[in-house]
Amino acid sequence: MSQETTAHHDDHDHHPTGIARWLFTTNHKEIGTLYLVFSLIMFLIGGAMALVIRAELFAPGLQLVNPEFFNQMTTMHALVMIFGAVMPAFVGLANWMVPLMIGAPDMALPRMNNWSFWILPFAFTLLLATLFMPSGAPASGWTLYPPLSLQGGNSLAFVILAIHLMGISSIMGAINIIATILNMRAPGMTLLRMPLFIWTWLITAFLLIAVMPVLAGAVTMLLTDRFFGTSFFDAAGGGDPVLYQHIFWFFGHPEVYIMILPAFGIVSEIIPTFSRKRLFGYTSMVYATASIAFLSFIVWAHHMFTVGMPLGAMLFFMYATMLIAVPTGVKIFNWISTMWRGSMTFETPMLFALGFLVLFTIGGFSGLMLAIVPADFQYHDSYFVVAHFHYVLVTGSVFAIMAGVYYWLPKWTGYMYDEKLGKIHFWWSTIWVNVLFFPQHYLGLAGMPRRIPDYAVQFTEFNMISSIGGFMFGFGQLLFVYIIWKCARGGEKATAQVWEGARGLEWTVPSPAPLHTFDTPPVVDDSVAVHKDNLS
Amino acid sequence: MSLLTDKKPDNRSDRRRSIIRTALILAAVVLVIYLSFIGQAVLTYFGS
Repeated sequence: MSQETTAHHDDHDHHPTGIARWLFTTNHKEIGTLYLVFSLIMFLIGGAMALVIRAELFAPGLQLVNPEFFNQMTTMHALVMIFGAVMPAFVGLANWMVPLMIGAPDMALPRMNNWSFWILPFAFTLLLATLFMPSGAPASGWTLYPPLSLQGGNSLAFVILAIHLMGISSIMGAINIIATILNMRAPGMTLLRMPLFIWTWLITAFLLIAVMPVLAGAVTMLLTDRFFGTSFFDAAGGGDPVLYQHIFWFFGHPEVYIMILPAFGIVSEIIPTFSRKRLFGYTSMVYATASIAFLSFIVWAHHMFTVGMPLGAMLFFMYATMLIAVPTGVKIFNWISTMWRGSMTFETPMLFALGFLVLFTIGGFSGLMLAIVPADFQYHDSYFVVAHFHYVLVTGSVFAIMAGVYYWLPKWTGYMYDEKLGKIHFWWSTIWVNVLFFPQHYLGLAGMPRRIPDYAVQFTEFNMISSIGGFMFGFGQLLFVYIIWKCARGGEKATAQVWEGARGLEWTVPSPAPLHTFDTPPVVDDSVAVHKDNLS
Repeated sequence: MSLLTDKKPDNRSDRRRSIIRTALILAAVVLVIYLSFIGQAVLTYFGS
């Protein structure tokens, strides 16, 4: 059994208090908390923007906002949710859990860790400030496609600077995670004994290193086109707007996997715990994750089949995209096999993990439909695409984040959350998220385009249903905030192991996890490792 | 530190060196990718 390290050294006890504690902290647990709180605030801001969109779309015609502001809302909602809510939530979970899971005392580069976080509030202040500029916020969609993005106001410069700052933050976070995992593992924590959450984050961090500079390059060229007279993407000057789409999606598709691979890791931790079995097919899970990461680099043009590309290119990107279903199928199979004949219980983290399993698969299947070139010509830029990626990102990424929060909250706070409220939150969210997004499949198949504030009357009923689902789902998340707040304030004391079937180093330290853990490295053997080397 | 050999440094000073080496290599990769775009942009701008 690994050694539990709880000792507080005297030299660590003069910890700053008040605002200085949070401004200058280099502790991975405190920085993890900062990331998670920031992410929750952004989730609520992005959610409010979504409600503006759904309120306007409740009925045909223009009711509440003008079309320009509507387009600003769709653009800002996406940027805030992707870069402000989902990505920082995963980085927050990584900050909290990576050192605890590998038996390290902290992240490898703690000062850089502080910097990675504190860049974000400045980035999002810049981004959100554009809403109050005379030209308004960017309104060309989160992809910032030229020529439309070049025809807007000067707020584009603020957005591009904000994206650069977010990118710097993500890159520094990724470097930190890779350096930590490769160098700081406890004795006995071999690569193939690492928890799946660590593996998925290691691979995600490499994806971030590879693609964030590509996004930075694309938006820098956009900046020079807009303000410095270049013509990279301006056909009038000899440039090509489609070039931007190729570069953007070379970043954009791996970005989708940056937002889903850590979710796979969380689910791979939760399902074995509540099935009281080790994860089935651990090694194949690692290889499947690596395969998905590799394939994510060679499928980007499936986002732009309709721009007109050679038949051979369309066939290549179609088949490469379909190939992703194979390693993803391996994962789904392994999760189901883990549950097979397990002693399953259905606490809130498990419910969210199972919700993820079913609903993410729906998003995966609609992704396969979109991969088929002739079908995509029909679905492209329709509400079918909106339904697809919200199943992937809301019932996929966001559900997994919520599962992870419920799973690890007792370890963070030292108290159990209110299980009854947690279950209500799950069922409320699951029912209404389907009311919100499932009708959008039908809207898209019937021909309703995305990013429009008004629509033909035949789309009214499904839009009304979707909007009702949106408001119910949205307000339901206030319950999530209340549950976290209530748990942080007190409740039933959590044990060190918290969950009966939990396995891994993080469950060997007390709850709440002391500020400093594993000052003396634990020794990892098969009894504590989530995976035995001789099994797969 | 190696993904292929599963080796990691086992004393404090080696670990510090290895962490810095890892960070510098990754930062260099980021710079090469970014500059391959921006360098081309700068060259195009001044060449035109």
